[in-house]
Amino acid sequence: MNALLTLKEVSKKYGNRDVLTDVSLTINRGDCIMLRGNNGSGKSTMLRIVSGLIPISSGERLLQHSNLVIGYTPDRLSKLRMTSTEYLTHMGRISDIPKKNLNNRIRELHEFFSLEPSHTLNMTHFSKGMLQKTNLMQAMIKTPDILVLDEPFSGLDKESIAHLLNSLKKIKSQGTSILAAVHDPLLASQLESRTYWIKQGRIWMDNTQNFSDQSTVFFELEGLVEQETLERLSGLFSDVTWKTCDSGHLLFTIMQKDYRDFLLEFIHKGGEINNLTRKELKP
Amino acid sequence: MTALLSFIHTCFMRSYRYGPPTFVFILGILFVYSVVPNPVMASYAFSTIFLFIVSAVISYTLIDIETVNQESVTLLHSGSLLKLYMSKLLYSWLFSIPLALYAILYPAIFHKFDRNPSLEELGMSFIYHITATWLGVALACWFSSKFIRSRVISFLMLSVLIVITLSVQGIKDQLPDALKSVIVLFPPLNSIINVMVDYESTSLFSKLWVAGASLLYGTMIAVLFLLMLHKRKLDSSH
Repeated sequence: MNALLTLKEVSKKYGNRDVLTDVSLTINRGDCIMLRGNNGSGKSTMLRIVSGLIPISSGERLLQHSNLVIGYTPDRLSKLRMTSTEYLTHMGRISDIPKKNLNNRIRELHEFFSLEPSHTLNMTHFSKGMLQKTNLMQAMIKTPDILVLDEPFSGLDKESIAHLLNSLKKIKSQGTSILAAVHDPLLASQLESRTYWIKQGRIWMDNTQNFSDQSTVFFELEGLVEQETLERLSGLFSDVTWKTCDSGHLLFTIMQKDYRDFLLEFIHKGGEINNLTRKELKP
Repeated sequence: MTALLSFIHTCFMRSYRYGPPTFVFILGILFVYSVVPNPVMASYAFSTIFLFIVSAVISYTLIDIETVNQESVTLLHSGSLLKLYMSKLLYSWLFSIPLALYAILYPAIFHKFDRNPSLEELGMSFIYHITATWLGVALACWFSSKFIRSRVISFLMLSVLIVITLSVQGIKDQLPDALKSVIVLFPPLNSIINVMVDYESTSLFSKLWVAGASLLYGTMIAVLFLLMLHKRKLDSSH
Protein backbone atom coordinates (compact mmCIF):
# COMPACT_ATOMS: atom_id res chain seq x y z
CA MET A 1 0.00 0.00 0.00
CA ASN A 2 1.53 3.34 -1.12
CA ALA A 3 -1.03 5.58 0.54
CA LEU A 4 0.07 7.04 3.86
CA LEU A 5 -3.50 7.35 5.06
CA THR A 6 -6.80 6.23 3.59
CA LEU A 7 -10.34 7.03 4.63
CA LYS A 8 -12.82 4.50 3.26
CA GLU A 9 -16.48 5.48 3.23
CA VAL A 10 -16.15 7.21 6.56
CA SER A 11 -19.27 8.63 8.18
CA LYS A 12 -19.55 10.67 11.32
CA LYS A 13 -22.74 11.29 13.26
CA TYR A 14 -23.42 13.40 16.32
CA GLY A 15 -26.70 12.05 17.66
CA ASN A 16 -29.05 12.05 14.69
CA ARG A 17 -27.06 14.67 12.80
CA ASP A 18 -24.91 13.43 9.92
CA VAL A 19 -21.76 15.54 9.83
CA LEU A 20 -19.88 13.46 7.25
CA THR A 21 -21.35 10.81 4.97
CA ASP A 22 -19.37 8.16 3.06
CA VAL A 23 -16.21 10.24 2.80
CA SER A 24 -13.29 8.55 1.02
CA LEU A 25 -9.88 10.14 0.71
CA THR A 26 -6.36 8.90 0.03
CA ILE A 27 -3.26 10.80 1.12
CA ASN A 28 -0.04 9.76 -0.61
CA ARG A 29 3.47 10.94 0.22
CA GLY A 30 4.04 14.51 -0.99
CA ASP A 31 0.33 15.17 -1.62
CA CYS A 32 -1.08 18.60 -0.96
CA ILE A 33 -4.81 18.59 -0.45
CA MET A 34 -7.02 21.58 0.25
CA LEU A 35 -10.44 21.18 1.81
CA ARG A 36 -12.97 23.88 1.14
CA GLY A 37 -16.47 24.41 2.38
CA ASN A 38 -18.66 26.70 4.44
CA ASN A 39 -18.66 27.08 8.19
CA GLY A 40 -20.11 23.95 9.75
CA SER A 41 -19.70 21.90 6.58
CA GLY A 42 -17.58 19.30 8.40
CA LYS A 43 -14.05 20.38 7.41
CA SER A 44 -12.69 20.49 10.96
CA THR A 45 -14.40 17.19 11.82
CA MET A 46 -12.70 15.60 8.83
CA LEU A 47 -9.30 16.97 9.87
CA ARG A 48 -9.82 15.63 13.39
CA ILE A 49 -10.78 12.22 11.98
CA VAL A 50 -7.68 12.16 9.76
CA SER A 51 -5.57 13.08 12.81
CA GLY A 52 -7.20 10.30 14.84
CA LEU A 53 -8.57 12.68 17.45
CA ILE A 54 -12.19 11.57 17.21
CA PRO A 55 -13.73 8.18 16.46
CA ILE A 56 -15.65 7.51 13.25
CA SER A 57 -19.23 6.27 13.25
CA SER A 58 -18.69 3.93 10.30
CA GLY A 59 -16.13 3.22 7.58
CA GLU A 60 -12.38 2.69 7.90
CA ARG A 61 -9.31 4.81 8.63
CA LEU A 62 -6.20 2.99 7.43
CA LEU A 63 -2.63 4.02 8.16
CA GLN A 64 0.39 2.87 6.13
CA HIS A 65 2.11 1.90 9.38
CA SER A 66 1.46 2.40 13.06
CA ASN A 67 4.40 4.80 13.50
CA LEU A 68 3.04 7.33 11.01
CA VAL A 69 3.72 10.83 12.36
CA ILE A 70 0.79 13.22 11.98
CA GLY A 71 1.35 16.88 12.87
CA TYR A 72 -1.85 18.76 13.63
CA THR A 73 -2.33 22.50 13.88
CA PRO A 74 -5.68 23.59 15.29
CA ASP A 75 -7.27 26.78 13.95
CA ARG A 76 -6.08 28.71 16.97
CA LEU A 77 -3.33 27.84 19.41
CA SER A 78 -3.96 28.69 23.06
CA LYS A 79 -2.03 31.67 24.40
CA LEU A 80 -0.17 29.88 27.16
CA ARG A 81 1.90 31.59 29.83
CA MET A 82 5.20 30.27 28.49
CA THR A 83 7.72 31.19 25.82
CA SER A 84 7.72 29.44 22.44
CA THR A 85 10.93 27.63 23.44
CA GLU A 86 9.42 26.39 26.71
CA TYR A 87 6.27 25.31 24.92
CA LEU A 88 8.14 23.45 22.18
CA THR A 89 10.42 21.83 24.76
CA HIS A 90 7.35 20.48 26.57
CA MET A 91 5.77 19.21 23.34
CA GLY A 92 9.07 17.67 22.21
CA ARG A 93 9.61 15.91 25.53
CA ILE A 94 6.04 14.59 25.43
CA SER A 95 6.87 13.25 21.94
CA ASP A 96 9.88 11.43 23.43
CA ILE A 97 12.50 13.38 21.47
CA PRO A 98 15.94 13.10 23.14
CA LYS A 99 16.98 16.34 24.90
CA LYS A 100 20.00 17.12 22.71
CA ASN A 101 18.13 16.56 19.44
CA LEU A 102 15.21 18.54 20.79
CA ASN A 103 17.25 21.69 21.51
CA ASN A 104 18.70 21.58 17.99
CA ARG A 105 15.30 20.96 16.45
CA ILE A 106 13.74 23.90 18.33
CA ARG A 107 16.56 26.18 17.14
CA GLU A 108 16.12 24.87 13.57
CA LEU A 109 12.37 25.46 13.62
CA HIS A 110 12.75 29.01 14.98
CA GLU A 111 15.13 29.74 12.10
CA PHE A 112 12.91 28.03 9.53
CA PHE A 113 9.88 30.09 10.52
CA SER A 114 11.92 33.26 11.20
CA LEU A 115 10.73 33.56 14.76
CA GLU A 116 13.16 35.01 17.28
CA PRO A 117 13.43 32.59 20.24
CA SER A 118 12.82 34.79 23.28
CA HIS A 119 13.45 33.73 26.88
CA THR A 120 11.10 36.34 28.28
CA LEU A 121 8.24 36.91 25.84
CA ASN A 122 5.35 34.61 26.71
CA MET A 123 2.89 33.33 24.12
CA THR A 124 0.22 35.45 25.84
CA HIS A 125 1.87 38.47 24.18
CA PHE A 126 2.27 36.88 20.74
CA SER A 127 0.64 38.32 17.63
CA LYS A 128 -1.60 36.05 15.55
CA GLY A 129 1.25 35.49 13.09
CA MET A 130 3.73 34.53 15.83
CA LEU A 131 1.17 32.22 17.40
CA GLN A 132 0.47 30.55 14.07
CA LYS A 133 4.19 30.01 13.51
CA THR A 134 4.47 28.40 16.96
CA ASN A 135 1.43 26.32 16.07
CA LEU A 136 3.20 25.00 12.96
CA MET A 137 6.45 24.52 14.87
CA GLN A 138 4.77 22.24 17.43
CA ALA A 139 3.23 20.21 14.61
CA MET A 140 6.70 19.80 13.07
CA ILE A 141 8.66 19.12 16.22
CA LYS A 142 8.91 15.52 14.95
CA THR A 143 9.20 15.67 11.16
CA PRO A 144 5.65 14.72 10.19
CA ASP A 145 4.59 12.38 7.41
CA ILE A 146 1.30 14.25 7.18
CA LEU A 147 0.73 17.83 8.26
CA VAL A 148 -2.92 18.60 9.02
CA LEU A 149 -3.75 22.31 9.07
CA ASP A 150 -7.05 23.81 10.17
CA GLU A 151 -7.50 27.28 8.61
CA PRO A 152 -3.76 28.08 8.77
CA PHE A 153 -4.11 31.55 7.24
CA SER A 154 -7.13 32.68 9.23
CA GLY A 155 -6.72 36.18 10.67
CA LEU A 156 -3.14 36.67 9.41
CA ASP A 157 -1.90 39.81 7.68
CA LYS A 158 -0.54 39.72 4.12
CA GLU A 159 3.10 39.54 5.18
CA SER A 160 2.50 36.62 7.55
CA ILE A 161 0.45 34.80 4.89
CA ALA A 162 3.25 35.20 2.34
CA HIS A 163 5.81 33.90 4.81
CA LEU A 164 3.64 31.00 5.85
CA LEU A 165 2.93 30.06 2.23
CA ASN A 166 6.64 30.05 1.54
CA SER A 167 7.27 27.83 4.57
CA LEU A 168 4.53 25.40 3.53
CA LYS A 169 6.01 25.17 0.03
CA LYS A 170 9.37 24.25 1.57
CA ILE A 171 7.74 21.69 3.87
CA LYS A 172 5.93 20.18 0.89
CA SER A 173 9.15 20.01 -1.13
CA GLN A 174 10.71 18.00 1.71
CA GLY A 175 8.14 15.26 1.09
CA THR A 176 5.65 15.98 3.83
CA SER A 177 2.02 15.57 2.78
CA ILE A 178 -0.25 18.48 3.59
CA LEU A 179 -3.97 18.41 4.26
CA ALA A 180 -5.42 21.85 4.96
CA ALA A 181 -8.84 23.38 5.40
CA VAL A 182 -8.74 26.80 3.75
CA HIS A 183 -11.27 29.45 2.96
CA ASP A 184 -9.41 31.53 0.40
CA PRO A 185 -9.18 30.05 -3.15
CA LEU A 186 -6.15 32.21 -3.82
CA LEU A 187 -4.19 30.45 -1.08
CA ALA A 188 -5.45 27.05 -2.20
CA SER A 189 -4.04 27.72 -5.66
CA GLN A 190 -0.64 28.88 -4.44
CA LEU A 191 0.30 25.49 -3.04
CA GLU A 192 -0.20 23.47 -6.24
CA SER A 193 -2.72 21.32 -4.56
CA ARG A 194 -5.80 19.37 -5.40
CA THR A 195 -8.95 20.78 -3.93
CA TYR A 196 -11.88 18.94 -2.43
CA TRP A 197 -15.18 20.48 -1.43
CA ILE A 198 -17.21 19.38 1.53
CA LYS A 199 -20.86 20.23 1.17
CA GLN A 200 -23.68 18.84 3.29
CA GLY A 201 -21.30 16.25 4.71
CA ARG A 202 -20.20 14.83 1.37
CA ILE A 203 -16.84 15.27 -0.32
CA TRP A 204 -16.02 15.70 -3.98
CA MET A 205 -13.02 16.80 -5.95
CA ASP A 206 -12.99 20.22 -7.57
CA ASN A 207 -12.49 19.42 -11.27
CA THR A 208 -13.31 22.93 -12.44
CA GLN A 209 -10.18 24.34 -10.88
CA ASN A 210 -7.61 25.32 -13.49
CA PHE A 211 -5.40 28.02 -12.15
CA SER A 212 -2.39 27.21 -14.22
CA ASP A 213 -3.31 28.56 -17.62
CA GLN A 214 -5.47 31.61 -17.02
CA SER A 215 -6.15 34.18 -14.37
CA THR A 216 -9.24 33.73 -12.23
CA VAL A 217 -11.14 36.57 -10.66
CA PHE A 218 -13.09 36.29 -7.44
CA PHE A 219 -14.53 38.69 -4.86
CA GLU A 220 -14.52 38.85 -1.12
CA LEU A 221 -17.54 40.45 0.49
CA GLU A 222 -17.60 41.30 4.16
CA GLY A 223 -20.99 42.17 5.54
CA LEU A 224 -24.03 41.26 7.56
CA VAL A 225 -27.12 39.35 6.60
CA GLU A 226 -29.93 37.61 8.47
CA GLN A 227 -29.67 33.87 9.11
CA GLU A 228 -32.67 33.08 6.93
CA THR A 229 -31.13 34.96 4.00
CA LEU A 230 -27.78 33.30 4.61
CA GLU A 231 -29.41 29.90 4.28
CA ARG A 232 -31.19 31.03 1.08
CA LEU A 233 -27.94 32.36 -0.41
CA SER A 234 -26.09 29.14 0.51
CA GLY A 235 -28.79 27.16 -1.28
CA LEU A 236 -28.80 29.35 -4.40
CA PHE A 237 -25.03 29.73 -4.80
CA SER A 238 -23.35 26.43 -4.04
CA ASP A 239 -19.86 27.66 -5.04
CA VAL A 240 -19.95 30.65 -2.70
CA THR A 241 -18.26 29.99 0.63
CA TRP A 242 -18.56 32.02 3.79
CA LYS A 243 -17.07 32.18 7.24
CA THR A 244 -17.54 34.33 10.32
CA CYS A 245 -14.79 36.89 10.93
CA ASP A 246 -13.47 37.87 14.35
CA SER A 247 -15.42 41.14 13.98
CA GLY A 248 -18.67 39.15 13.79
CA HIS A 249 -19.17 39.99 10.11
CA LEU A 250 -19.53 37.31 7.46
CA LEU A 251 -16.86 36.95 4.79
CA PHE A 252 -18.16 35.57 1.49
CA THR A 253 -15.86 34.33 -1.27
CA ILE A 254 -17.65 34.69 -4.62
CA MET A 255 -16.37 33.50 -7.99
CA GLN A 256 -16.90 35.89 -10.90
CA LYS A 257 -19.69 33.83 -12.48
CA ASP A 258 -21.84 34.27 -9.35
CA TYR A 259 -20.82 37.83 -8.58
CA ARG A 260 -23.68 39.79 -10.20
CA ASP A 261 -26.55 37.52 -9.17
CA PHE A 262 -25.18 37.06 -5.66
CA LEU A 263 -24.81 40.79 -5.05
CA LEU A 264 -28.30 41.54 -6.37
CA GLU A 265 -29.81 38.86 -4.16
CA PHE A 266 -27.72 39.95 -1.18
CA ILE A 267 -28.78 43.59 -1.44
CA HIS A 268 -32.36 42.74 -2.35
CA LYS A 269 -32.69 40.71 0.85
CA GLY A 270 -31.41 43.58 2.98
CA GLY A 271 -27.76 42.50 3.33
CA GLU A 272 -25.35 45.16 4.53
CA ILE A 273 -21.99 45.43 2.76
CA ASN A 274 -19.04 46.42 4.88
CA ASN A 275 -16.28 45.78 2.38
CA LEU A 276 -15.99 44.39 -1.13
CA THR A 277 -12.62 43.38 -2.61
CA ARG A 278 -11.75 42.09 -6.06
CA LYS A 279 -8.98 39.47 -6.11
CA GLU A 280 -7.21 37.73 -8.94
CA LEU A 281 -5.45 34.41 -9.20
CA LYS A 282 -2.60 34.84 -11.65
CA PRO A 283 -1.05 31.92 -13.53
CA MET B 1 4.61 10.31 31.57
CA THR B 2 7.14 12.52 33.41
CA ALA B 3 7.06 14.93 30.45
CA LEU B 4 3.27 15.11 30.63
CA LEU B 5 3.38 15.68 34.39
CA SER B 6 5.90 18.46 33.86
CA PHE B 7 3.73 20.15 31.20
CA ILE B 8 0.59 19.87 33.35
CA HIS B 9 2.55 21.26 36.32
CA THR B 10 3.71 24.29 34.28
CA CYS B 11 0.18 24.95 32.98
CA PHE B 12 -1.38 24.56 36.44
CA MET B 13 1.20 26.71 38.24
CA ARG B 14 1.04 29.50 35.67
CA SER B 15 -2.76 29.48 35.54
CA TYR B 16 -2.86 30.26 39.31
CA ARG B 17 -5.99 28.09 39.50
CA TYR B 18 -4.43 26.16 42.35
CA GLY B 19 -4.61 29.35 44.45
CA PRO B 20 -8.17 29.39 45.82
CA PRO B 21 -8.45 25.73 46.99
CA THR B 22 -4.88 25.67 48.34
CA PHE B 23 -5.13 28.90 50.26
CA VAL B 24 -8.58 28.06 51.63
CA PHE B 25 -7.10 24.79 52.92
CA ILE B 26 -3.98 26.38 54.43
CA LEU B 27 -5.95 29.18 56.10
CA GLY B 28 -8.73 26.78 57.15
CA ILE B 29 -6.26 24.53 59.01
CA LEU B 30 -4.61 27.55 60.66
CA PHE B 31 -8.05 28.77 61.77
CA VAL B 32 -9.21 25.39 63.08
CA TYR B 33 -6.08 24.91 65.18
CA SER B 34 -6.14 28.48 66.49
CA VAL B 35 -8.03 27.05 69.46
CA VAL B 36 -6.11 24.50 71.58
CA PRO B 37 -6.05 21.76 72.80
CA ASN B 38 -7.64 19.40 70.23
CA PRO B 39 -8.20 15.61 70.22
CA VAL B 40 -5.64 13.96 67.89
CA MET B 41 -7.55 11.56 65.65
CA ALA B 42 -10.83 13.49 65.63
CA SER B 43 -8.93 16.57 64.42
CA TYR B 44 -7.21 14.51 61.74
CA ALA B 45 -10.64 13.16 60.75
CA PHE B 46 -11.76 16.74 60.16
CA SER B 47 -8.70 17.60 58.06
CA THR B 48 -9.22 14.37 56.06
CA ILE B 49 -12.74 15.52 55.11
CA PHE B 50 -11.45 19.02 54.36
CA LEU B 51 -8.67 17.66 52.12
CA PHE B 52 -11.12 15.32 50.37
CA ILE B 53 -13.19 18.37 49.33
CA VAL B 54 -10.11 20.41 48.34
CA SER B 55 -8.66 17.57 46.26
CA ALA B 56 -11.99 17.14 44.47
CA VAL B 57 -11.92 20.85 43.58
CA ILE B 58 -8.29 20.60 42.41
CA SER B 59 -9.08 17.56 40.23
CA TYR B 60 -12.19 19.31 38.84
CA THR B 61 -10.07 22.35 37.93
CA LEU B 62 -7.13 20.40 36.55
CA ILE B 63 -9.02 17.91 34.40
CA ASP B 64 -10.00 20.74 32.02
CA ILE B 65 -6.83 22.82 32.41
CA GLU B 66 -6.11 22.67 28.67
CA THR B 67 -8.26 24.27 26.00
CA VAL B 68 -9.84 21.92 23.44
CA ASN B 69 -7.25 22.90 20.82
CA GLN B 70 -4.28 22.47 23.14
CA GLU B 71 -5.62 19.14 24.35
CA SER B 72 -5.75 17.90 20.74
CA VAL B 73 -2.12 18.92 20.28
CA THR B 74 -0.98 17.32 23.56
CA LEU B 75 -2.88 14.15 22.71
CA LEU B 76 -1.19 13.80 19.31
CA HIS B 77 2.26 14.34 20.83
CA SER B 78 1.72 11.91 23.71
CA GLY B 79 0.10 9.36 21.41
CA SER B 80 -2.41 8.22 24.00
CA LEU B 81 -5.46 9.80 25.58
CA LEU B 82 -5.18 7.35 28.46
CA LYS B 83 -1.63 8.48 29.19
CA LEU B 84 -2.70 12.12 29.13
CA TYR B 85 -5.61 11.64 31.52
CA MET B 86 -3.72 9.25 33.79
CA SER B 87 -1.14 12.02 34.12
CA LYS B 88 -3.84 14.54 35.00
CA LEU B 89 -5.28 12.26 37.69
CA LEU B 90 -1.84 11.40 39.04
CA TYR B 91 -0.81 15.07 39.12
CA SER B 92 -4.00 16.03 40.99
CA TRP B 93 -3.18 13.37 43.58
CA LEU B 94 0.49 14.29 43.84
CA PHE B 95 -0.43 17.96 44.24
CA SER B 96 -2.48 17.10 47.32
CA ILE B 97 0.32 15.19 49.07
CA PRO B 98 2.14 18.32 50.38
CA LEU B 99 -1.23 19.54 51.64
CA ALA B 100 -1.71 16.21 53.45
CA LEU B 101 1.75 16.53 55.01
CA TYR B 102 0.92 20.07 56.11
CA ALA B 103 -2.37 18.91 57.68
CA ILE B 104 -0.52 16.16 59.59
CA LEU B 105 2.66 17.96 60.61
CA TYR B 106 1.47 21.50 61.40
CA PRO B 107 -0.66 20.60 64.47
CA ALA B 108 1.84 17.93 65.60
CA ILE B 109 4.88 20.23 65.43
CA PHE B 110 3.16 23.30 66.88
CA HIS B 111 1.56 21.37 69.79
CA LYS B 112 -2.05 21.93 68.81
CA PHE B 113 -3.20 18.62 70.38
CA ASP B 114 -4.06 17.61 73.91
CA ARG B 115 -1.16 15.12 73.76
CA ASN B 116 1.69 14.20 71.43
CA PRO B 117 0.48 11.87 68.62
CA SER B 118 2.25 8.51 68.30
CA LEU B 119 4.22 7.60 65.18
CA GLU B 120 1.54 5.07 64.27
CA GLU B 121 -1.16 7.73 64.52
CA LEU B 122 0.89 10.11 62.35
CA GLY B 123 1.57 7.41 59.75
CA MET B 124 -2.00 6.11 59.61
CA SER B 125 -3.43 9.64 59.49
CA PHE B 126 -1.17 10.41 56.54
CA ILE B 127 -2.40 7.27 54.76
CA TYR B 128 -6.02 8.22 55.45
CA HIS B 129 -5.43 11.74 54.13
CA ILE B 130 -3.91 10.55 50.87
CA THR B 131 -6.49 7.80 50.30
CA ALA B 132 -9.32 10.30 50.87
CA THR B 133 -7.53 12.60 48.44
CA TRP B 134 -7.42 9.86 45.80
CA LEU B 135 -11.14 9.32 46.32
CA GLY B 136 -11.78 13.05 45.81
CA VAL B 137 -9.66 13.13 42.65
CA ALA B 138 -11.30 10.03 41.16
CA LEU B 139 -14.82 11.27 41.88
CA ALA B 140 -14.28 14.78 40.55
CA CYS B 141 -12.77 13.71 37.20
CA TRP B 142 -16.22 12.51 36.10
CA PHE B 143 -17.41 16.12 36.12
CA SER B 144 -15.07 17.06 33.28
CA SER B 145 -16.50 19.14 30.43
CA LYS B 146 -16.03 15.99 28.32
CA PHE B 147 -19.10 14.54 30.00
CA ILE B 148 -20.99 17.58 31.26
CA ARG B 149 -20.66 20.65 29.07
CA SER B 150 -22.09 23.25 31.45
CA ARG B 151 -19.55 24.15 34.11
CA VAL B 152 -22.31 25.47 36.40
CA ILE B 153 -24.25 22.21 36.27
CA SER B 154 -21.13 20.07 36.64
CA PHE B 155 -20.00 22.09 39.67
CA LEU B 156 -23.45 21.80 41.27
CA MET B 157 -23.52 18.06 40.61
CA LEU B 158 -20.05 17.64 42.09
CA SER B 159 -21.14 19.61 45.16
CA VAL B 160 -24.17 17.33 45.57
CA LEU B 161 -21.94 14.24 45.26
CA ILE B 162 -19.57 15.60 47.91
CA VAL B 163 -22.51 16.25 50.25
CA ILE B 164 -23.85 12.72 49.61
CA THR B 165 -20.39 11.24 50.27
CA LEU B 166 -20.21 13.10 53.57
CA SER B 167 -23.75 12.03 54.53
CA VAL B 168 -23.47 8.31 53.80
CA GLN B 169 -23.89 7.38 57.47
CA GLY B 170 -27.08 9.44 57.73
CA ILE B 171 -28.44 7.96 54.48
CA LYS B 172 -27.66 4.45 55.76
CA ASP B 173 -29.58 5.11 58.99
CA GLN B 174 -32.64 6.24 57.02
CA LEU B 175 -32.67 3.27 54.66
CA PRO B 176 -34.80 0.16 55.43
CA ASP B 177 -32.76 -2.90 56.42
CA ALA B 178 -33.31 -4.58 53.04
CA LEU B 179 -31.64 -1.68 51.24
CA LYS B 180 -28.79 -1.04 53.66
CA SER B 181 -26.39 -3.11 51.53
CA VAL B 182 -26.81 -0.53 48.72
CA ILE B 183 -24.57 1.72 50.76
CA VAL B 184 -21.55 -0.25 49.56
CA LEU B 185 -21.91 1.54 46.20
CA PHE B 186 -21.32 4.94 47.81
CA PRO B 187 -17.79 6.38 48.16
CA PRO B 188 -16.37 4.87 51.39
CA LEU B 189 -15.11 8.09 52.97
CA ASN B 190 -17.36 7.63 55.99
CA SER B 191 -15.61 4.32 56.82
CA ILE B 192 -12.30 6.18 57.12
CA ILE B 193 -13.87 8.88 59.27
CA ASN B 194 -15.57 6.32 61.54
CA VAL B 195 -12.27 4.49 62.07
CA MET B 196 -10.44 7.74 62.83
CA VAL B 197 -13.05 8.84 65.35
CA ASP B 198 -12.98 5.41 67.10
CA TYR B 199 -9.30 4.81 66.40
CA GLU B 200 -8.40 3.38 69.83
CA SER B 201 -11.06 0.68 69.77
CA THR B 202 -10.64 -0.34 66.12
CA SER B 203 -8.72 -3.48 65.10
CA LEU B 204 -5.58 -3.19 62.99
CA PHE B 205 -7.31 -5.07 60.17
CA SER B 206 -10.17 -2.55 60.07
CA LYS B 207 -7.69 0.34 60.20
CA LEU B 208 -5.92 -0.95 57.10
CA TRP B 209 -9.04 -2.24 55.38
CA VAL B 210 -10.78 1.17 55.21
CA ALA B 211 -7.71 2.70 53.57
CA GLY B 212 -7.48 -0.18 51.09
CA ALA B 213 -11.22 -0.01 50.32
CA SER B 214 -10.99 3.72 49.53
CA LEU B 215 -7.96 3.20 47.31
CA LEU B 216 -9.71 0.36 45.50
CA TYR B 217 -12.96 2.31 45.08
CA GLY B 218 -11.06 5.36 43.76
CA THR B 219 -9.03 3.22 41.37
CA MET B 220 -12.11 1.46 40.05
CA ILE B 221 -13.99 4.66 39.22
CA ALA B 222 -10.82 6.24 37.75
CA VAL B 223 -10.31 3.19 35.49
CA LEU B 224 -13.98 3.37 34.45
CA PHE B 225 -13.50 7.07 33.62
CA LEU B 226 -10.41 6.30 31.52
CA LEU B 227 -12.21 3.50 29.67
CA MET B 228 -15.10 5.85 28.84
CA LEU B 229 -12.65 8.46 27.57
CA HIS B 230 -10.76 5.90 25.52
CA LYS B 231 -13.98 4.97 23.76
CA ARG B 232 -15.08 8.55 23.07
CA LYS B 233 -11.63 10.06 22.40
CA LEU B 234 -12.13 13.84 22.14
CA ASP B 235 -15.63 13.54 20.71
CA SER B 236 -17.47 15.66 23.22
CA SER B 237 -15.21 18.61 22.56
CA HIS B 238 -16.65 19.06 19.08
